[in-house]
Amino acid sequence: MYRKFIYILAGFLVLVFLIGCGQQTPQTMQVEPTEIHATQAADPTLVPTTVEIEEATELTGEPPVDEVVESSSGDVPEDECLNCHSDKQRLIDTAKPEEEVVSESSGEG
Amino acid sequence: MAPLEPWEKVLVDIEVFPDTAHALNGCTDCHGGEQSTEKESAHTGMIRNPSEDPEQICGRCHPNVVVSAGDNLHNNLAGYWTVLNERSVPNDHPALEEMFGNHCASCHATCGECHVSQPEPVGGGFIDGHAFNRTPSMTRNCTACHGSRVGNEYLGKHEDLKADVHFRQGRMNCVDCHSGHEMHGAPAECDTCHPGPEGSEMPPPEHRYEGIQSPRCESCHPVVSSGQDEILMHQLHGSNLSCQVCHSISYSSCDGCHVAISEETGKPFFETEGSYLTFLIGRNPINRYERPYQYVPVRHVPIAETSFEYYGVESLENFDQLETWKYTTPHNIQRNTPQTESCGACHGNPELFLTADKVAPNELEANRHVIVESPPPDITSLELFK
Repeated sequence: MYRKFIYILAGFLVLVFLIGCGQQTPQTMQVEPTEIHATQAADPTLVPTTVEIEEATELTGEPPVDEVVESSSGDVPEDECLNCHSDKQRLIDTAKPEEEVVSESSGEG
Repeated sequence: MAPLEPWEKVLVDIEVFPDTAHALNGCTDCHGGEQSTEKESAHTGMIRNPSEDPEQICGRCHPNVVVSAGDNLHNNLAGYWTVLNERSVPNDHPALEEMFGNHCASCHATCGECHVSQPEPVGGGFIDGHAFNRTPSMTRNCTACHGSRVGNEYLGKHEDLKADVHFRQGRMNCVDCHSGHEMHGAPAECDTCHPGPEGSEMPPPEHRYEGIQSPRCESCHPVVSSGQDEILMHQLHGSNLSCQVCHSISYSSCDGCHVAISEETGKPFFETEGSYLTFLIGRNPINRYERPYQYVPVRHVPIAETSFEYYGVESLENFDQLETWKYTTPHNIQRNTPQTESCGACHGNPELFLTADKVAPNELEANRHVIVESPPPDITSLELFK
């Protein structure tokens, strides 16, 4: 009887232990994609790939991390300086006429 | 170099510039002004040439380069003041400063005038649609300013005179000899600052021939200078003649430059009395450890006692303190020249030497250290040379 009680207790403890491990697994794996993202942010030449995002999704069970994609491509704000200074016709239309300078100097400079 | 149209000078290459490192800065980061669709408001507070203030703008990313900007002769034009101070007296300095501001100061080069635009004195305008060039363009940057002497000689633009062999056969650009360190006023090697007995520290250069030679021919032709090749003239003259004495051909000299402000337009102008091609060998006026030559080619510079009389300096009081036939390094090097034909080309030939009869009477005193009293004797009768 006493031995039977010991077996039941041991089986219960094993069960509790396994349940506990089963709950910890996703938390541990969650760290990995975060580290990948931090590396990518430090190096602007690295672009996160679809595969990496999908892997992260599988491991964490969370939806794709959209902000990683956003931070690497980014919306470039409209630059009015470049808009005008790359528009040949607009520059021609707005250029201030240059005064023709006739040099009064003579001889080698 | 054809002048650029006003719009052409400021047209940004949208296919190229946005992908360059400098585009990571917003336009207004360097140029000021405002983001606006209206030209007037966009240009309010705009800085046309940001590198006029190299420490504040370029120095943000290139601190190691701009650190020497203050000592850079391209930037501070110290060479001009070295000779102006020596030829004048302090009483003349206010007038000379006004003259300098009107006629000389605009010739300095900013970072941008070598790396992104043509220099302002030659009209300005982007070189490559505002893309920055690590290496300046030889013709649109370097010889745009250094054209009448260096450019014309190096590129062979004088009739009947060949281009420099380094260009003609070597296709060498200015920067192949003149390093970025040199252009930025920063010594590239220890011995640039520590050439020998002068001491462990050198002050900023006061003119372009101060300190050790950089560039120097021997850097690429070491055997020649040590007399270890089979050419007899290298063995005999390698140490007492500058390389250009034998390997240069005729180059430009100028006389009598005068500056003034036009009564008609109010703009500054200059006049030189004469410009001519010549080749003359004189005694070395800067015979020192770094340039231990007895003889060097000499070029007449356009200074005159009355160059600045418009500004009230009737005559430069210390005009005789400096020679008017200056140490020169013509950029028209040839393997074979009239001087290399034979010993007799120079020995016993007064035509090649700056003798007193070739110097204007009012400049004899100024050139006393340079004038060759008598050319080397004719040695062609000696047994060795028969």
